[in-house]
Amino acid sequence: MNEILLSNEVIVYLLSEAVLYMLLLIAFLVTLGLVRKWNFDAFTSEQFMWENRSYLVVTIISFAMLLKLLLLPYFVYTVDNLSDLIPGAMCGAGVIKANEYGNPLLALKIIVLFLSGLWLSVNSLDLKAKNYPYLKAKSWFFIVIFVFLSVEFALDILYFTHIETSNPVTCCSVIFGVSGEANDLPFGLNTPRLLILFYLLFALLVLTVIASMPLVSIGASLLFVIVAYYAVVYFFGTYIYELPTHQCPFCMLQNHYNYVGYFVWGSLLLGIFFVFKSAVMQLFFKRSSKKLKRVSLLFLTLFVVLCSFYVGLYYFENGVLL
Amino acid sequence: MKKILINIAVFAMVIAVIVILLLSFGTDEGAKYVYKNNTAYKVVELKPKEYQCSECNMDIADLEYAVELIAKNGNTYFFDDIGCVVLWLKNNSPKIVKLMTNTLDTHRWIDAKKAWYSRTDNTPMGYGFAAYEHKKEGFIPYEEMKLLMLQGKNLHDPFVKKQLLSK
Repeated sequence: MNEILLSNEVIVYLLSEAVLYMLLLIAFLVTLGLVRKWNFDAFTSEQFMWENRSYLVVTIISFAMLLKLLLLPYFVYTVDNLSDLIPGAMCGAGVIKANEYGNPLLALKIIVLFLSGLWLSVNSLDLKAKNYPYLKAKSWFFIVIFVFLSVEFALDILYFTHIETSNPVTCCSVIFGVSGEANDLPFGLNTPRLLILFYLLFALLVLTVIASMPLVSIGASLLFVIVAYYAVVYFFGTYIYELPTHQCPFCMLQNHYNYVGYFVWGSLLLGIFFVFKSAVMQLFFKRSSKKLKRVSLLFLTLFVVLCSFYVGLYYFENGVLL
Repeated sequence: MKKILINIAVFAMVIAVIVILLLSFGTDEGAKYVYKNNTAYKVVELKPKEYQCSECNMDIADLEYAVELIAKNGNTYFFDDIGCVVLWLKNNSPKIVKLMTNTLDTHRWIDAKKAWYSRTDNTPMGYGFAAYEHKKEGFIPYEEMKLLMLQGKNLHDPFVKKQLLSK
């Protein structure tokens, strides 16, 4: 058997994913019935049964989504740990690129989590109302999410079963570093412009969230995710590593850097998620929540402060910038 | 009043973001793989790290091993290693007007198909094939080099490496 599949982390991860997928499959099958047979105005025993089952579905999905949220950092941790087994890999960057399924899988996991979070928000609105106004909408939404979940589960299996321990992979300094590929910044940007965009978009996000401009918020947050990713990998990351040639999104997840990567990426994703959630609530459900706005701004500010802190710390300690 | 000010600030920021993006799109800061409109079909003067290899994406830092492929439409493609040219031509078929390589012995740009190739040089991608203008013992012509490259019989193969370097 493949050495990768015998790793403790991979066994735990795949087993958890399999159990969750089986639970979600049950929820999916019940949901199919719900969308066809649900009629809140009917006083039949069948409708009563569907109402009971909808509780089951909501419980299963909420439980599964919560665990999925915990499984994303665990997946990253697992991938990072596998770098010990794969020749050439120094961190998760090489392991993720060990085959063609790694990057799509990671992207899909983030998309699924975003969609799941939005589903939970719609569900919460639905449960608060007395007549389940969004039951059909959230059921269709779950069916769409389930398609993504199925692809994700298939990719999980394909990814872990196709990692070769005999083939050397590229280390992060080749994938991202200055010794490898040429200027990787998007839109033809250089570092100063990337940083101006980074802080400008952050300010724009803060303003649009405060001023309740959901469409601009969504546009700015999409652009901010891209710019922030590149800013962290190609600028802020070098200050975390204190090495101008070390450009990697994964190494900062390691013990050597106090696992700060989990906070950096976690705060960015949570901040963007809450901006999205707040915007969707305003656009589709005409609900504006101050608490949601505060939470999104808190995470985004935490992200920006954390990134900037490392630059300041380096300058404070050494008197120069990299 | 406060709302108007916020709206103006948001508008100004959106414009600033768009301007920065448009300015960046117009610059040559990004990776450069192709020199266009070389209709005179002359070798393009290179500076280290100015262009990137069309096959492996690496900076062309060591010009001694650089290769230029000039296509009929004037597009000039750059490669950091002759092995990359062979691999790139496997998946691409431009109408080639010139395939020029720099040489290690005379430091001139010559027709890559007329050059002689050593098998054990320390080339940027480590395939081992380096171009020379004059033949020496053990050197092979372009077609043979191409065949060996396509068969994977280069220094990346440990057996070939052992065999060649033990000579």
